[in-house]
Amino acid sequence: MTLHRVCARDELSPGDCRIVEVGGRSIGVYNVHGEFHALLNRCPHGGAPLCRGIVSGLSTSEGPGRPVHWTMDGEIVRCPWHGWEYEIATGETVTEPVIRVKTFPVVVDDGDLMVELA
Amino acid sequence: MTELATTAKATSQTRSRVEIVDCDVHPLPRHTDEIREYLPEPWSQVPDQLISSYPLVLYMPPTQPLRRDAFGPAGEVPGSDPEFSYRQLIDEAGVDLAILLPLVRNHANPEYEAALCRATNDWLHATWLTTHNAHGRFRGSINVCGSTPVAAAHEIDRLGGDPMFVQVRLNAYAGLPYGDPFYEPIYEAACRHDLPVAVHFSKGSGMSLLTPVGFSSYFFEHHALYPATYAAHVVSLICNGTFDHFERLRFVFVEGGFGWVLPLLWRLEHLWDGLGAEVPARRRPLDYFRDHLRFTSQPIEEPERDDYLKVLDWVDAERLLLFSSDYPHWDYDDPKQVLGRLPRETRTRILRDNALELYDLPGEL
Repeated sequence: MTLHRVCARDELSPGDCRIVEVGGRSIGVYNVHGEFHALLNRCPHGGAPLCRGIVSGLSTSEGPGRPVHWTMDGEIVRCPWHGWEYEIATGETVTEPVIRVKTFPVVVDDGDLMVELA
Repeated sequence: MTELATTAKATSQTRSRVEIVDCDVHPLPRHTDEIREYLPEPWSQVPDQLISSYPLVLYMPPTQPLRRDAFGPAGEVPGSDPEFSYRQLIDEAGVDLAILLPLVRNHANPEYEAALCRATNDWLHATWLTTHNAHGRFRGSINVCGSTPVAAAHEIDRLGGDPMFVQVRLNAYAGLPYGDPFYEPIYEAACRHDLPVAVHFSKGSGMSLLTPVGFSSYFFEHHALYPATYAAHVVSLICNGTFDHFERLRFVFVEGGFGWVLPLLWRLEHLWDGLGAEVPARRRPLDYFRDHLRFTSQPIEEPERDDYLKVLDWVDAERLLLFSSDYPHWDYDDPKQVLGRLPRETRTRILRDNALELYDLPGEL
C-alpha cells in the first residue's frame, strides 16, 4: 500500500476535480462538499477519460408527469462521451444494473491530499 | 507516449497496413466565416446561424452534442482543429483512414442549401483534404441537397473526379423517400463517378422531424427513432427497384443502428412472395441488401446476451457493417472498445475490409 501526493488540501476547492498520474494510473480526485474522493479516470462502459466529465447532479421524479427535482448537486460525474452518471463518493452508476468505476481512498496528511493505492 | 506515436505515424518511411477505417468523422470549421468565404452571392451575408451545423433545433442532447474531452488545447471546438483531431483519432484511437462527413443540415430554401453544400465541399477540399492531409489519412464526402437533384448532379460532376472525395452525402431528412425516381439525376451522377451515397442525419427544424404519430418530447426519443427514418428510405429503395436501374449504386446508412435491419428484412422477404407483383423491383429484398446496402456500426448495440452475435451472423454483418466512431460527437465509439466479442475474421471485415472494398481505398499507407 502506497500513498501518493495529489496537491495541497487547499488547492482543491469544493466542486473541483484534479486529474493526476500516480502509479501508472490516471486518477481523478474530487472535493465533494468538503469530502475527498478519488476515481479511476476511465469509464468502464466505453473507455472514456471519465474525470474529464462535468460534475453535476441528478434529476428525479415520483413518476411520469410529476415535477422533476434536482438532487445530489455536485455529487455526480457525467462521462464526457456518452453521459453516463456516476456517484463520485461510491463510483457507482445511478441506473441499474449498477456498474462501478474503481475508487481509491484519499487521506489528508499534514495539509496534503494523498491518494492511496493498493 | 502521444508525442512518440505522432512522430511514428507522421514520418514513417515504410508503408503500414490499414487496420481500421472509420466511416463517420465530423470536421467543423473553426469559425463559420471559413465556410462563408466560399458562399456565393446572394448568400455571403447570411447570419451565422444559417451556416452552423448546430443551430437551435427541436432535438439536442441535454448536455451537449460534442465530446467534452475533444476540445483542443486552446479551447478549439471539437473537430475544428485537424492536427488535434489527428492526435485523438489516428494516434490515440488507432484509426488509419477517416471518412469525413461535414454535416450540412436541411434548409427550407433549397437554393441556399445547395449553395451551402457547395461552399462546405470547397472548404473541406481546401483544408482537411489538402492543406491538412499530407499524411493522406483523410477522405471526404460531397454534400449535396437532395431536393435539387439536377444541381446536386452538377456538384457531383464538379468534384467526383477528385480521388479525395469518396462518397456523396444526402441528409436523412428528405421530402420524399430515396427510392423515388425524383432523385435519379443524383444516382446517375454517383454512378458516373462510382461513388457510394451515404445518408447521415443533420437536423434543421420543421416537419422532417415529425413521426407518424406526432412530435417526440425528448432528444432521447428522437435519437431512438433514427431507424424508423432509415427503414422508410430502405424500403423505398427496395420497392422502387432503384438498384435495377442503377446497378453500381450503393447506399450507406450512417449512425442509424443495425439491430433493426434483420426484422425489417424478414418482413420484406415475407411480403415479397405475396405483394412483389405490386412493385417495380425485380429481385428479392435480400439480394438488394447484399449487393447495395451498407450500415455503419456506431452507436453500436451491444446487448449483454451473447446470442446477439447470432443476429449479426444471420443478417450478414460480416458483409453489411462498416465501423464508425462518430468522432468527435458525444456518443463516440472507440474502435478498441467495441466489436470485441466478434470472431476475429468478422471484426477485420467490419473494421477494415468492407470499407476498403466499398470506397476502393488503399490497404496500405
